[in-house]
Amino acid sequence: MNNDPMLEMYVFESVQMTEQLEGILIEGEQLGGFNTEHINEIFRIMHTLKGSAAMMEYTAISSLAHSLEDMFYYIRENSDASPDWSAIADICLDAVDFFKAEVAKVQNHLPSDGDNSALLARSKACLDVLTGKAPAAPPAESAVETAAEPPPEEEKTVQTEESAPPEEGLNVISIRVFFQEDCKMENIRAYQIANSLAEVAERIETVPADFLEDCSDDIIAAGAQMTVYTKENLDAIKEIVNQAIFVKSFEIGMLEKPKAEEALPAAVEETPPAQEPSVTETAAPEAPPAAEPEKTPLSAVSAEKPPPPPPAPAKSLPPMPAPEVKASVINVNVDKLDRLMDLMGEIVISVAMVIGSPDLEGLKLDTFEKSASQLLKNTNELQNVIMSVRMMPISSTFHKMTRIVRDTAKKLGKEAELVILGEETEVDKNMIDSLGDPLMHIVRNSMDHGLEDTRDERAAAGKSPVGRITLEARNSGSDVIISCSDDGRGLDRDKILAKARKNGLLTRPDADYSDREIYQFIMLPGFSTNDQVTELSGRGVGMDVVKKNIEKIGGTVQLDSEPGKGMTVTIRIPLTLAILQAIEIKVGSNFYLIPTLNIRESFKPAMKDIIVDPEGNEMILFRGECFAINRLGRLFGVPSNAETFDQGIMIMVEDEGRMAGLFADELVSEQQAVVKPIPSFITERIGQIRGISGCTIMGDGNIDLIIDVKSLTL
Amino acid sequence: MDEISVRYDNEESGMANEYMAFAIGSEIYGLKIEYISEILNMQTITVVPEVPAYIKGIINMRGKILPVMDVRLRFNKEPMEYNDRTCIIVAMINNTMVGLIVDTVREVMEILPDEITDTESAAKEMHNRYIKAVGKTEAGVVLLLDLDRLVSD
Repeated sequence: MNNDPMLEMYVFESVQMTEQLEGILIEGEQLGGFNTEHINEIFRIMHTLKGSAAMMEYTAISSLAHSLEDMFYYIRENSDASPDWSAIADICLDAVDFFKAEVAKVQNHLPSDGDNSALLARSKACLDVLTGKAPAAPPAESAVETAAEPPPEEEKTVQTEESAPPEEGLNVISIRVFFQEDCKMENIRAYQIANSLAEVAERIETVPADFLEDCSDDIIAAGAQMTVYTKENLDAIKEIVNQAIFVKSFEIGMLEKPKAEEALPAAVEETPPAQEPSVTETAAPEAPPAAEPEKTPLSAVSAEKPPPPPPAPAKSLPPMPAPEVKASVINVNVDKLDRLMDLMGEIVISVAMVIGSPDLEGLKLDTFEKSASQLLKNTNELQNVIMSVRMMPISSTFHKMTRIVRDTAKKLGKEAELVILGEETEVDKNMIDSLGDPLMHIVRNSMDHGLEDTRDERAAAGKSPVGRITLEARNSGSDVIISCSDDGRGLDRDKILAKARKNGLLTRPDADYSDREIYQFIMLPGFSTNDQVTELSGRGVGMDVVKKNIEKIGGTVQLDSEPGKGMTVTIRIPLTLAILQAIEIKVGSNFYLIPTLNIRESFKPAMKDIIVDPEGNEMILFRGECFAINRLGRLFGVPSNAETFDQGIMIMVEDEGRMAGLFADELVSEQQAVVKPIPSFITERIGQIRGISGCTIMGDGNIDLIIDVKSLTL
Repeated sequence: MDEISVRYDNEESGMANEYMAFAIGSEIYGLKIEYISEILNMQTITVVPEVPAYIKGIINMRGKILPVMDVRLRFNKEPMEYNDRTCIIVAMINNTMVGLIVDTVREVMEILPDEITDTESAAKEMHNRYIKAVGKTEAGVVLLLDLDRLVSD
């Protein structure tokens, strides 16, 4: 048995479920209690976590999940109990952390060796309180129907054949389970069900006889057939099967004890025995009542289970017969997407090579031109599709911050609310992964140092007693802007300036520094104005790491603050690290690219529009306003062929409403560029290069540098 | 692009003692072959602003962006115009890949450990902190490069 795909699937499932669980817990806590839906959902997740962990033999996870499952079982069954929700949420969230830590270990092929005894004890204590020191909740084997679940309707039909001699006083229940398509390892999943049934059964017969053999294909074709000899009734068995994961549908029925020989002829015909399904209808858990199929006698009705982590409210089920839910979403390994993206980049370069081939120069090729433009159009579209595949809404990252705010608030004894705006903004998957940690740090920072310590302090400043942290995401051209603002004290400009002076960071007179420049100091390594470093954060200790991490993904960080009113950290990241539409320009013998999105206009400047101030700074009058001119040759230290402004071309660029003129020798062409970062060997030495955001390989194999308009318009 | 291919097979026990010899001016330098992934002819270099003079810029190595460093300038020697003998040695250390521009590449030679003299003490006099040892060969003295220092300083 190859463990790796199983492990992968386990990790995938567990991660999804713990995240879901966390979301529910926090939602419940914010509402001040859990409703029936929450409780059922938590119960279900705990149960699945327990089951899959047990299957993988991670006992620390499974026993803890089991204990919490018991607790929620009790809560579910005793709706009149009034549990201490906040305490329960605390335990569960700590458990979630424990699960996460263990799953992370497992993922890295380390043994799951966490110590769950403390959490187990807490959970048990909590349950004891709930039950009033009564004996622990009854085990989950009794027939369980949740309030959300419609009452089961079943009809038992008499089955005239028998597979094995019945045992006295035992119910004989036949079950056939079908799994969701592509759930993989059907045999293992069947084995798992058989295993849980074995706990309550005297004996189980299965077809195929041994699930652990490689029989997945048979199970896909004919389902996993189990005949259970048990003291339990049909409902209890049904419940157990219901709880299993990845079950698409199952048929279940009670086989009657044989009445002497009369059943025999039928039994002879049926091979394998007991294969004919008895007719039973089970309730579809979580299915909206409207979709509940009308019961039709004498036809098998399958119980549908929604996929284990329902991404949205359960879809309504189509009516019978035995509906098949085709998954409209598949999980794809990110590596494959990365590979796809790389290939796309290579194709863009190859297309540019072919179309721009010097061999074609001077030839008149009508059909070629036509085909070439068709090809360009198609590659463009392909690119957009590939990009869109990689895009994910940022909401999950934002919602993780809810937890951070909650935890930090509790720890610090502050009150704070998190406001989330623009969570539907989509960002490249890789970016999202790299945003979590920096955002977490920023939020913690705001909680710890930004917000005032007490309600009174806030009230005295004329603010609402509850602190507010706002997370916002929005698109801006080819960038995504993510900002985190608090309405706390704001940054202390003078303190930062003093510290910068002390550290010898000031190279100009104090008055020369803008507020923004001063705030940027706190993102230097080791720059902390905080007198005492707290457990959570010492402002400045971590901001350099935030800055570094964001720069790693091609982004920038900026701080703004208004004393007494709060501060805002603005992260700007490219929508994707991928492909850019750009204009190629030439300076001397060097080529550069300017993102098309940033270009407003280009023209030969008239000498009368050029203004030079007494310090020699050149400016251009454009539509009645003055803008700074960057001569790219001087900026990048390369010789230029255009010494005077009438010899070259002025390109007006804009970013976030700020404009500047870039002066180059000539425009070359419009290009598609696959953005690549400047090698870290260089950026580690000199940091971000002013005016350069990356580079790209052109069709002719040369490298062009991509101009960073943002840093030139500041 | 004709490249001099370099054998990778580590099984050959002799490889540990093999050095790629290259010349800068009249001096012969040696770099352990295990660091070298390939050798390229000179090609168009894209100039990158703000970098120290010895970092000449970046080149396109089959779709990979590779920074290139002029070893001559790194050693504070007079710059020399590149010609068709100029080579780029692509070296990899600590996951950093960098191209080293040298006057010319000579040959792969074996230098046994007992033919190598440590220069740590003499390094200051040699004005070159990027040399960690001196190897004696039949062809003369070879200065053995401290690639780690050359790349990470």
